[in-house]
Amino acid sequence: MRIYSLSIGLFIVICGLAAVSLLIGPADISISQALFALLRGEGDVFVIVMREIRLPRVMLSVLIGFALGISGAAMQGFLRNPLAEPGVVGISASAALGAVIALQTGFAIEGSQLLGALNKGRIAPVFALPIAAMIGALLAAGLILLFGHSGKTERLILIGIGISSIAGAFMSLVLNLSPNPFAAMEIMFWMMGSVADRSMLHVWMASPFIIIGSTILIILGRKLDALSLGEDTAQSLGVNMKAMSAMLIISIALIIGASVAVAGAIGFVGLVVPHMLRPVIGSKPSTLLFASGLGGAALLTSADILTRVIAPERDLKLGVLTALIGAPVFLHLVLKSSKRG
Amino acid sequence: MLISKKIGACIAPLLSVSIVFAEPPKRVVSVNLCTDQLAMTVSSPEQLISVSYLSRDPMSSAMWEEAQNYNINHGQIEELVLLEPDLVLAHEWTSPLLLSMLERFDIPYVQFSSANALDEVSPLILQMGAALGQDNRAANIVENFENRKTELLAQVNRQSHSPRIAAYGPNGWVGGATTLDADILAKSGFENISSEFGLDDGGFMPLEALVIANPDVVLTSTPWPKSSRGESLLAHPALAAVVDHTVEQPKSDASWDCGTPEILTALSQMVELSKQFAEGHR
Repeated sequence: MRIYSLSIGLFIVICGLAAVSLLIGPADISISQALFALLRGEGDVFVIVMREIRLPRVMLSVLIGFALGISGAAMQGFLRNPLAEPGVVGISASAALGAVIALQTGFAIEGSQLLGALNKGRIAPVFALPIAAMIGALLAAGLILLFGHSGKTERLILIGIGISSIAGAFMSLVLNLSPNPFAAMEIMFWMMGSVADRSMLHVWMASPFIIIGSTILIILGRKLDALSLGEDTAQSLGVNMKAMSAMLIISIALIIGASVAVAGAIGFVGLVVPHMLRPVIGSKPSTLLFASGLGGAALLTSADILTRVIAPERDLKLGVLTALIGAPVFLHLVLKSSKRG
Repeated sequence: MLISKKIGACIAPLLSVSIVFAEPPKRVVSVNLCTDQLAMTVSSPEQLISVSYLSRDPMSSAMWEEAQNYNINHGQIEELVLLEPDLVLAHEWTSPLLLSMLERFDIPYVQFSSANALDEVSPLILQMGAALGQDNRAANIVENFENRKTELLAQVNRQSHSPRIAAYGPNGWVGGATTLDADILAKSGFENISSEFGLDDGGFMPLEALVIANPDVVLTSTPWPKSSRGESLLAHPALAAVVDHTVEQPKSDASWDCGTPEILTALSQMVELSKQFAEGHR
């Protein structure tokens, strides 16, 4: 029962935050103007601002927050490791590397080139960027879940640091070698993430993959519950570990690849949210997954509001705020686990 | 000739700093995109032995074809020393480290400033002429430049309501009022919306602020090869929706970035657009 009331509570919080987020922006638009423009399409330029700029921003912060929250909870459940999270273990950085390589080799296109392709009725180029990021995420998730699955907590983190460093170095290399002077300056976006100035196209680009991946994770919830009793017990309860690992890796890659392709690598959301929710609803993965998704959506939408309150005229990166909240929690968890070890 | 004499008189104190040679230098190396183009315009063919690699790039340089005739350098001290120049042409933004190394190797250099207004172009051409010992050639170029500029500006038909323009670059960058870009826009008869937003010194304008400002013309940039997030902002559907009832005019960095006679290409482009507004075609 507690999970239902928590979910309803979080849903109401997300709606409230989304409304606040829709009303905050550099353009001076009153609440009534914003509502008329958004809901009834009245007010020319206000309609463009509300529907084409602010709405996709809010939708992405909710969607990507959900994606990060649920994938963090799934990884912690599967690896039975409190420090597991796509950002910490390098899956997000690898996804960003995949996206950067795709953009700089011309496999994926953005901006006016993409609009040109869409005008000619070509839909496929829209998905090239998330698919490239998913391939990057898949490689890292595979490595992490294969090598970080057994052994101590620290081993997983060290493998994650290795993967993050390699992905970060290659990303810098690719961006530095780019013939586009603006691309070279964008390492901050790929490392820290942002949902500013994205369009509905980016929402359509990411949402199918995030929805499919999250659905698979929720279906896997019961099996993750069995796994929390130990691998042998799970197998005796009929869980096929290999099939489950493969499904989990694919869903995490779908979710993180799609998120990073449109908003860069935003860290720590998947780490912090499940830890905040466990004292309230317990640590059963099947209940924690959906709730962590909602918690992630609320956290990321709040962070996105804060970026505009703290620095209204600057494009303050979302990952800066999530790291300010998440990094101390991470440090606390590392110290706690090393004491126990 | 009269015009160039006037300008020459105005910048005499500036030139006295630059003239360091009794006779024209014979091995001149330029390390900056803008000094490259000024030097290629003013020097005698055998005098200039190397220009920067950027001057061969069609995206950056208005004189990229001419630059193919020169050796290129990357502004590194090792390259410069081996070229044995008797003069290096540098810019006010050239790295101070490079300049101090030039001093250590006793290689003379001259620094040129940026042109922040159309009226600052001719003094730069004359300064280049003085540095290269090509005063007469520079004076002729200035005369032609000033005549053509006057001719273009005479075509601008000032209206009671000037068309409002936003020069909106990648990442939403808007140049300040004291830039060459802003001067070209103002002199071609446009009202720059950057001042409405207190961005006289330049800055980032959020996309939604631009949409609300609803300018008549949005001057964007020509996309560079491969993708960047900063440039993809210029293809945002919100901007496209504004551009539906405004004019989108891409500008090329090559014709706009340097204070050389090539700047007249940019001026003539904007004067033409301004005339279309005045004649009611837009």
